Amino acid sequence: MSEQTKNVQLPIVNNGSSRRTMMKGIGATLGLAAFGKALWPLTDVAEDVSMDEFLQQHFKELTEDDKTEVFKRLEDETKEKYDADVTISDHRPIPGVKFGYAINLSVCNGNGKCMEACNKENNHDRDTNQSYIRVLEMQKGSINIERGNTTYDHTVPQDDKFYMPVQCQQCDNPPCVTVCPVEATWKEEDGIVVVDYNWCIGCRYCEAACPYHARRFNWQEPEIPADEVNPVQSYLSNRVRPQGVMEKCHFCLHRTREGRLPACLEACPTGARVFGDLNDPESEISWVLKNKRVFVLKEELGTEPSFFYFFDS
Amino acid sequence: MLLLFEAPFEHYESHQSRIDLLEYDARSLQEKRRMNLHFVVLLSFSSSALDVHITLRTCDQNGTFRAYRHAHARIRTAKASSRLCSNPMIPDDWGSEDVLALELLLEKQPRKTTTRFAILRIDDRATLNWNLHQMKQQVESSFRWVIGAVLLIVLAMFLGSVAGRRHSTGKPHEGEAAPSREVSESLHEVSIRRPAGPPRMSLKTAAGETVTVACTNCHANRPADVLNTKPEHLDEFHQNLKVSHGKIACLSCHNSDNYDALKLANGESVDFENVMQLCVQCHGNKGKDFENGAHGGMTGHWDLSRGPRQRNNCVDCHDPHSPAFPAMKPTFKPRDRFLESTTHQGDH
Repeated sequence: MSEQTKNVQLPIVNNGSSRRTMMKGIGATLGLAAFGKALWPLTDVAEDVSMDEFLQQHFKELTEDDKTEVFKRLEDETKEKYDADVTISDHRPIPGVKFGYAINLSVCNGNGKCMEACNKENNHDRDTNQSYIRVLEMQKGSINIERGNTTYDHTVPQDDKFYMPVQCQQCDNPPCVTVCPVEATWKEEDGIVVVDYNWCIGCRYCEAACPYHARRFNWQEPEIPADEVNPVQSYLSNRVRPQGVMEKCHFCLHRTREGRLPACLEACPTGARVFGDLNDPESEISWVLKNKRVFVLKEELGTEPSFFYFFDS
Repeated sequence: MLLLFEAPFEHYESHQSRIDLLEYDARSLQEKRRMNLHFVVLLSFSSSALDVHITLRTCDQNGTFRAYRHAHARIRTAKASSRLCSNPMIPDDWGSEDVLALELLLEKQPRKTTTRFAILRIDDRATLNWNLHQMKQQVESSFRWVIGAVLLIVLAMFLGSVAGRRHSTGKPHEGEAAPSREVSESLHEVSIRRPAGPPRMSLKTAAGETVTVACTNCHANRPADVLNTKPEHLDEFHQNLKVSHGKIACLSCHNSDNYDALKLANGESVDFENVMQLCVQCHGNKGKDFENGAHGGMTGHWDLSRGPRQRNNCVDCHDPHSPAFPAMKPTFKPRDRFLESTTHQGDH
């Protein structure tokens, strides 16, 4: 009997502390501490990414209710960060429209007003003068855009130079869309390649894939004075982009999908730009394609741009 | 544009297809001497990706190899839908006496049933871009029609079966093919800015006040002298006006019968408001471009069914006395970190 009571022992309380259990205890404590430490970075997320944003679905999967909610949240965020009252909406493509853009290089004189208009219209960073357009100054007699100069600072036009604004060519076969690992960028029915800035992970593959150097990375959050924020915004176009995501020219879709002309065209003092619906045979852009000697950049890559250049003959 | 050759791929047993244009088009090719020729290879296929190797060769009449150019492309489609590939690849400097041979090498044979290719010859670049766009639309829309038709049939069958079960007289589904884009009945207008009217000259009175007077104020009393063709010829007034507008004289445009109006080449009077009529007499090409929306700045709407458009007229941008567009100083420069240094421009 006494032997039996001796054998029935509670594992820890009655056993006293052996070396083995102590080692187990230390091991378990260290393991828990390491696990906790490993999870620690997760607690930082809440500071700049709200839980709603973290859980937000891909734009194409948002319902109308989701969109209302998301747009409201983004509007509030803009109010908080920039002290500006903005309206974010969702401009959908006009059925049957395919946008095209052409620039008359005989007329463009490289004054750069298009870049300025883009900067203001699309809520770009004021400090770096970010813009979706680069105006290249190039030697007459060659079209090698890799040799173009964007930093010229003299009266224009120079006699031996011509000027070529380059922005997103809205390719029909866009390499940037193919390389995106998370499908944060896609081509819509009217030909505009758009980016879901909240889905983009900022890997910059698309920037590397684009043969036209048309994509921009937001190295920092744009700085814009409250009174200069353009309040008419669209989710896929000119809303203020967060830090660490890609962005690109979207043919001012918040304007063009309402039938208006893009900001860079309206700002051009030389009238070098022609914009319109490629599917409409009566449109200005169709007339240009039919009657001018039009070319596209890097045609041999097979990207099939919707952006054209021409010279007056 | 000329369709040179069109065939489904099953005509070829191997994956390499060679078409000798010599057989198809040698004569008409030679007729088109001294023209820029662009060839386009169009492929339509239904698989998801296709590797194409295209070789273009020139050879002389005896078939001797002269030069070649080749391109390699992997074409992908997101959906298994029709796709066209274009490769205008003949350089302009190739001799027009050459006859071309074309080799098409498909590294992966797509499904034969829907594959088709065509070679087109296009005589100039403008038509090429336009026609490519048109052809793409055709293929895409025909594909859409096929899908649409299938969907309609399925829908009709479904509705029919539902109606049959309920023994009701269900109406056929209407308006299945909505018009892609409504042509609005009432288009907004394109307004072209005009000069407000005849210009007025500002003069200083003896008392030192500045007043503006109409041109006819002075010119009514002064007979016109047709020998005065430049400002330098004048004895008083307008001498400092800078004129750099070809060889035309003042009275080429100004109306000596009524200085508050202008004059067309045939002597007809034209108001300052309609100055564009005067300009396009010589600058017809620019006028044609303007008329078609390819010259001159504008604001407003590209889509006139949604809003109006405002356009500049000639003298908004061009000073009629020296019409060359003025030189400008760029005021806005990007300042990104790659562009800081101007010393090594374009180096990579």
